[in-house]
Amino acid sequence: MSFRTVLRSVFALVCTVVTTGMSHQASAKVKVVTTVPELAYAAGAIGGDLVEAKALLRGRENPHFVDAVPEFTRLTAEADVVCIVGLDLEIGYMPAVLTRSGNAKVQPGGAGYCEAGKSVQAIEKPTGPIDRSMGDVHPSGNPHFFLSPKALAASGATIVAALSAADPAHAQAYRQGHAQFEKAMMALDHEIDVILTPLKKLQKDNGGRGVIIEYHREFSYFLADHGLLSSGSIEEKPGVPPSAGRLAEVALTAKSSGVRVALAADYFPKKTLDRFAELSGIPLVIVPTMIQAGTKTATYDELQRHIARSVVEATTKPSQGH
Amino acid sequence: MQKLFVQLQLLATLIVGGTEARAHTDDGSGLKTCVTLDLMGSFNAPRMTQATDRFAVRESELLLYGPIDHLFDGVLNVAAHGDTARPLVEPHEAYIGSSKLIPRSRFRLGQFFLGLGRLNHFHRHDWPVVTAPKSQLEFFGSEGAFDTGAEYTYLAPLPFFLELTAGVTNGWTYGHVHNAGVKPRVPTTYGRAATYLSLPAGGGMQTAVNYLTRKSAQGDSMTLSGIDLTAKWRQPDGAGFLLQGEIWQRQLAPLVGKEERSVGLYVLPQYSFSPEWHLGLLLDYFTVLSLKDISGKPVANAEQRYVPTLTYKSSEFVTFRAAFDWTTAKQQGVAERFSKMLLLQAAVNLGAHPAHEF
Repeated sequence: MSFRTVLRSVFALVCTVVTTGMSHQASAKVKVVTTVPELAYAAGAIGGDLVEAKALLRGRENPHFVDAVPEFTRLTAEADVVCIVGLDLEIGYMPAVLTRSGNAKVQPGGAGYCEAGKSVQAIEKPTGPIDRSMGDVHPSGNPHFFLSPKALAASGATIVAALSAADPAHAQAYRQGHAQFEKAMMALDHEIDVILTPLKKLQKDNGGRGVIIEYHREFSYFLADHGLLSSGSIEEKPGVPPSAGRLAEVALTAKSSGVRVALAADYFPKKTLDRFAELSGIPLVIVPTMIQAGTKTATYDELQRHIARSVVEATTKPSQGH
Repeated sequence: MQKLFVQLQLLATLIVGGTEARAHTDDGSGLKTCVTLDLMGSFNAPRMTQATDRFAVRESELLLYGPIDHLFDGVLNVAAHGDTARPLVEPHEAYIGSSKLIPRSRFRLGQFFLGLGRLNHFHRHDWPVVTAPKSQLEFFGSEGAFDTGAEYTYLAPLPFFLELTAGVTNGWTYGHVHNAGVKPRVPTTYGRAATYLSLPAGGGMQTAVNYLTRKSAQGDSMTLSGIDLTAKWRQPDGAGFLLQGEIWQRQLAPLVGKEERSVGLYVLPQYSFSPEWHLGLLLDYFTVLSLKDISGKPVANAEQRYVPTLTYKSSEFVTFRAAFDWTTAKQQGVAERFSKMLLLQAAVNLGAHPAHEF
């Protein structure tokens, strides 16, 4: 059998499989596909049994650098609603996924296209001209709002609009679901606020100056929710790994300004973070920043508690000093 | 000289126009602009190759893309070549397309790189290698095969990824040529079926079967069949592994004369130490299966390349690459030929580069 014959046979098989697959039945539920797991959680909480929400990311990825995986395209093609964070977080892969899906309703301009960040009051929006020499700057503001229960609740307004457009008969149920979700997020916010009380005291003792430094500014919303100030980032420019000089400089500055903990997502280079901890003597807290199924941060509530407790524990340990 | 000046003026006009267009993005048109500069040099010490011994602009590209209206998107890609006998400005891609008209489908009409294989899907400056593998060079051209026609892609409604592509283009020319060509007896037609498989440890693999056929004005027919594979593992901290390969067979059946069959394949394993540093090894093989001596006996022949390649990317917009190209060409009854050269490349994207495919 020649190579050409084999290829022809494969094509014939493919055609048969496709024809058979046409009978693939659509679910009665509204199919929601989101980029980050937090949005799937929000959509699931708002829509309840009326929706089937699935996240493309597993929570272990660096959300800034994701490939346009063909499986994403397949899931997007079947979605009634696609919900992204927006604020340019997914600009590197979602445009390709949406186009390849051939699903008009979930592409920009379609009723099922949901950019959750649109109903969030974005912070750290740069003022003045920006360009790439400043690093990976997000012109519309910091996109990491999904780590804040308050901001996640606010993003629910956009999710409700998209769900209602896809399933107008249950618009009222989605609005009610959103109201309950907001309550749940406020309760969670209060619980986390209590856990973080020792940090507020530390901040007060530090003359009102921040006691937390971030590797990348992705905890900004989380900290702001609880009246905590960020002492800036270890990165000199967003998305650009710090140089040895920058590490030394920022370590010195952080130590002298009373910073008590360095906070980083679990997808950043461990070596760089360890070097910062070594130079500054400031304890390092590396945490997941997205829900990760099958771990101790498998739910949004657990993720919030884990981050808050980890930070508090790190500040109560005796200083390593250098 | 005057012609060169006119061509450069044309490109400059396009770039300036593009800059203005980008500035107008805020008006709601959505037009985006990307300018790409691709510099390349090949150097050899023991004068055994075709190395140019100079580092120069291989091509500069201007890419304009964006939505035309609520249904259609448009792409214009113009390239100015510095590696041709004479400086040349030409459109590489100029098409309209849509992914909103037919469910689970997208199509494009106009001039484009044929949606076949792996490398042919990407502009050369986006390849993970400096120069084309031999099979790509022989079967598609140094940059890839493009033509004018229509291409339709359908995503099957299955519980796994299966994407089917069919295309038909004029076929007056094939590959990457710089003339109008001649009307063929049968235009270029091609098809591709791609699927995807999730792999352990966060990896994924896309594989596809490809087929192309064309019959020239003289009645010479060509068929190309091949398989491409791309597997990626990306760790959260930026480390990762890429395994990319293609195998192609070409059959040339001239109306008069002997049939020719060639096979080419390459494999590229590439390890990423970080988002910045990548080390790959291109293993490239090409042979003419139908080569015979005057008595009609088959003649063993093969060209092999080994190209270790080190890549540094300060960001997704800047690539520096150094590679050592070691090529051997063997043919029964002929002395083995060797070629060694150092390849250097610098590629930069200014402006809004489109989202990356897998």
